[in-house]
Amino acid sequence: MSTARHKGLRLFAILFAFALIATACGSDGDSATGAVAADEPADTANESADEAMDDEEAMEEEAMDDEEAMEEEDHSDDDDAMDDQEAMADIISDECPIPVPSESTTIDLMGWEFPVTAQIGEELEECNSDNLSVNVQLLDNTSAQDQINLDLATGSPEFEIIHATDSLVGTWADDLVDLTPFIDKYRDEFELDDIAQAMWDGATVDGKVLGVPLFSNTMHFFYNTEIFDANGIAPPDNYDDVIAACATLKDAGFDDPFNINVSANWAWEIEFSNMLKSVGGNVVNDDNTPGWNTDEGLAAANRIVEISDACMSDAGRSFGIDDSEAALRSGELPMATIWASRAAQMDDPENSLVVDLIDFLPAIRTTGDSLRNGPAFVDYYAIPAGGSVDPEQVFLVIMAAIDAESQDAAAAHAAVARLSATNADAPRNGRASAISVAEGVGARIKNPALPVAQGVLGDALLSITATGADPATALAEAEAAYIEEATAAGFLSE
Amino acid sequence: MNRRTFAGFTWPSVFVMSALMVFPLVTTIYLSFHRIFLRDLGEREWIGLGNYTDVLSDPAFWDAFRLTILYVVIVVPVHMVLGLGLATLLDRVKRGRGIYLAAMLLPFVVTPVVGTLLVRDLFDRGGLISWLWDVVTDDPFVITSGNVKWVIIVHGIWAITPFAVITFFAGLQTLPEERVEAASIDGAGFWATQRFVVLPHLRSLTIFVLLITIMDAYRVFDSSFVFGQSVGQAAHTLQVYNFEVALTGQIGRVGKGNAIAVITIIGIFVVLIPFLRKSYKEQIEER
Amino acid sequence: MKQFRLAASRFGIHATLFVTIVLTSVPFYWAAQNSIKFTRDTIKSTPTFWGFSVTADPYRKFWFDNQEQNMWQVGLFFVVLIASVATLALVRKRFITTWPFTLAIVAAFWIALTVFPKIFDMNREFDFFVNSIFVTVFTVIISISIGLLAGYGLARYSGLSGAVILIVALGFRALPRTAFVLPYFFVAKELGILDSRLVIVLALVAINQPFTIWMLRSFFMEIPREIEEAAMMDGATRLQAFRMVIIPIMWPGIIATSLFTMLLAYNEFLFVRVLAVTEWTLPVAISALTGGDSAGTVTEAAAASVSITLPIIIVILIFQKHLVKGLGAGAVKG
Repeated sequence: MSTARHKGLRLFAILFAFALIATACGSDGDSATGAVAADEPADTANESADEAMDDEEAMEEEAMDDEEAMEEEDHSDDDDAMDDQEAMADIISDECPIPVPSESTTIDLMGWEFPVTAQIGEELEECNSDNLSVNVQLLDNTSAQDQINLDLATGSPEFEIIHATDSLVGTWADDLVDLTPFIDKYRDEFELDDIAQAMWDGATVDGKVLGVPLFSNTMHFFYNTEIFDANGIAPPDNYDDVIAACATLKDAGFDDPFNINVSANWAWEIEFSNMLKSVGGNVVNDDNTPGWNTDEGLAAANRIVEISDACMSDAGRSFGIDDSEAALRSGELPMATIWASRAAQMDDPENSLVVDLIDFLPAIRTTGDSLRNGPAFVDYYAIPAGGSVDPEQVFLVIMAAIDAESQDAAAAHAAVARLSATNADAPRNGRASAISVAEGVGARIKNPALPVAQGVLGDALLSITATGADPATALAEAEAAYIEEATAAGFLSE
Repeated sequence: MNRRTFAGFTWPSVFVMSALMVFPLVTTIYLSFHRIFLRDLGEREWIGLGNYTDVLSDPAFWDAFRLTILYVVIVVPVHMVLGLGLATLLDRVKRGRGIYLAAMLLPFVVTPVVGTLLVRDLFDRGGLISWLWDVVTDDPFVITSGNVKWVIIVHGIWAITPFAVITFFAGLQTLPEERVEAASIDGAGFWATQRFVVLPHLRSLTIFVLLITIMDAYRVFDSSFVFGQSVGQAAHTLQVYNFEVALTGQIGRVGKGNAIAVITIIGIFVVLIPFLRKSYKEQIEER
Repeated sequence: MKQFRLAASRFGIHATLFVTIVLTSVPFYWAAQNSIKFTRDTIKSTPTFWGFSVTADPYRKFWFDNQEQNMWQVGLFFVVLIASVATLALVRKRFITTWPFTLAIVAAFWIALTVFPKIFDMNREFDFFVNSIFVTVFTVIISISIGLLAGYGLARYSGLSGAVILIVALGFRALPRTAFVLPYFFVAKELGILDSRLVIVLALVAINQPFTIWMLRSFFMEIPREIEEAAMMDGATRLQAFRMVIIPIMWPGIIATSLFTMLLAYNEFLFVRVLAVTEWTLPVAISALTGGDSAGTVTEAAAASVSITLPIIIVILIFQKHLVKGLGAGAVKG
């Protein structure tokens, strides 16, 4: 047999082995240059031997170029650092005012995406430099939380920084790094007193501060001034006013005058939880027992049903937050209760048809004298314990992300943590936001059993508007289901 | 070929399949008899059939099961009939066949997650079908927990029919023309020809398509998951329910999730065993 | 009269087929037209069919870091790339020894892939695209290599163990991914290979083996035993006969199976979602745009959908005949 064919098989075997090795090597680094081209080999016969040889050469070339390219990429990020090197300062850059790490460090961040987190992510990525590489990964809300939960559950986390809600901080309190010593150490350098104590408290469990506040969010009332003026409606203060306004608007031809989010189980649970708290109840008590199967709970559920019947059609009941935001921006929805962070887009001419026509009011009260239905949600960056990077280094990177300049930039999208932050493009709902929080129902409890409760409660509540279940029965069934799940999970003793 | 050569040729594949499929499966079955949580994987406790009774008494399981069965029972026969019909039509045209085939392949090759999003966009507020529905019935179409199963089924049919079309089309290509002509000379009409000449020729192909699509429809994940993100539990099929129980939330119940996986496997094998036995017999005969 | 009936039925057939392809492609068309709009034209409950301003912003936002990126420059890059590849392909047809030109085509794409991010400032989505290509190519190479050997063995061996392996493999194909994903996660974690492209490739190779060996086996069954027996009588060993005689004939079958494997690897969602913590592929990247603030990202998600689907469509268009042949052959013996 010809030696060329012999070579062919040997090279094919080498190709195969190389494929395995290259795959393994491909796991280091995120270089955009380490790829083999995607083309399938030609479909004529008799070329396997020759092509095997060629592919192997191509891959060898590529592996070498891989290394070269990675060095090149790092150098190109060096420009900022070069200026400072002359000044003998140790900091990375003006945008990232923290010391250069002593050894090459990679920091992975997992969070969920919306404009303010995207902005903060950009601020973090400004720290990419010689010895420091920051990977900001933003997924959608559910997927990100799945990844975070999965990562924390393993005990040796892959992420150095996680975006956490206050309830997430509460659930994983034992697996997060205590940041108190770092906060004390860097308090002056990074002006950490510029952030309200209440926000730090929101991430404090057993006296340990477990998260760095980034921004806060709440829910309050958005309305279309043009439609309100045309129909002579006055700004409402409690839900009786809202229901009356719905009647007027329905007469004027709107099928869906108002919207709150009852489209999914978690959304229903948020509205219910706000209402319950505003009339004095609580979803889960300190001893993990359920608190919703009470008179207050039934009143809250019935109130939401009342609003739903008076103000929403079936279409409206299926609106997610994004749908209702889109409807507001298109001028088809007169009023809604949605997240404060959605305000910024209302005045963007590329995104909105109602520029300058939307105005904001503090969160609506359940009844005339109850608290406002405005929760105080603060989002944090937390550091999982047991990671491979020194927590102090990670903390410094977080500090770079929330320095004054970064928070000013982020203020264009949301109510950021630093009290001194200002931005000319800040959305117009600052005042409404602040009042909603000040007179509202406060932060979520940090009880680890809360997620269990949220799951079963949300499902039961959703069935009230989705399939017409009776509220009292739904609440009772949720209670029974919760007791079973919580007992199985160990939150309640048998 | 002797046994040694056979072993030499097949050992890499068998090794990969044993290491990467048998071993995890055994682990899954083993853990399904334990109480074990995602947040604390070091601790597990033998509870025998505890997880199984839990699953079988969970209404969410039965909802997911019903949705999955509904999906299989509708999507599989409908797409096969459509596939055969379209393949027959394709067989009869000469011009433009390439274009038709290429366009029909699109739903099959697109990433299922992306395909689901594309279909969902059509039915969502501001989408083409939602608008058409409004024009025709004066009632905007909204995806609710009540009708999401129909949207999932429509997506399923859209995505899987191309598979049947090209399989049957390829099969029709191997049907000798003389047989069809002989039938028509004997006086058989269109339907009679189909029944006595075409369908018997396509028999083994039909069984193949049936087998593969039942397997795949039963395990549908991507489309149910994407719809579940907006509608919630009403869109969950068995695999998504399994995923939600085992991996999400801060209290991922790994033991219970594995029990669901085992029950799912038992379910598919109930349908599969007759096929497998038949296949096995055919293999033996061929030797 | 018969002519008319024939013509009418011909028209009817074409009409039906035309309606069908409209139905199959409507979602893509819809995404494509959404991907060039401003968000304000997608938020009304009545869609805007015409009269909207066109913009390349959604693509810019998805792929590029630089929001001022001139998309015409990007377009020029692609024009140059396609022109060079087309020229090489044409030249290749005219020569008998074709391997330098195949190498050149592969090199052209590889150069494009490495040079592109140096010219333009790219987002992480480009890295995910590279991951997708990497995972797909290596899954195909490894899966087909192993499967080819096994398929041949199973086609030529008449013992009982062959039948057992085939049936067990078929059974494995029926198993749900959820039965595998957690064990993979934890073993990968222990071995330290979690969040690497290697673990994804391994998982996909494993899951894909049953289908691959069945399909390749049925292609091998179509090749008469006499061919390699003749070669063996001339003094070749079984292995030599395999690679020198059988493989060249098998190329169409190999390509068909590779296409299916490629589809599976490129489109994988669940495994990547759980096993790849930071090294995502494109299908997972798009899920970042569909939850959360998706009212603001409808157009970007549409641009992402189009971008993710385009490479697959191009490859399928080129190899369309093989796909059809593959399904036919793979099924007949199955």
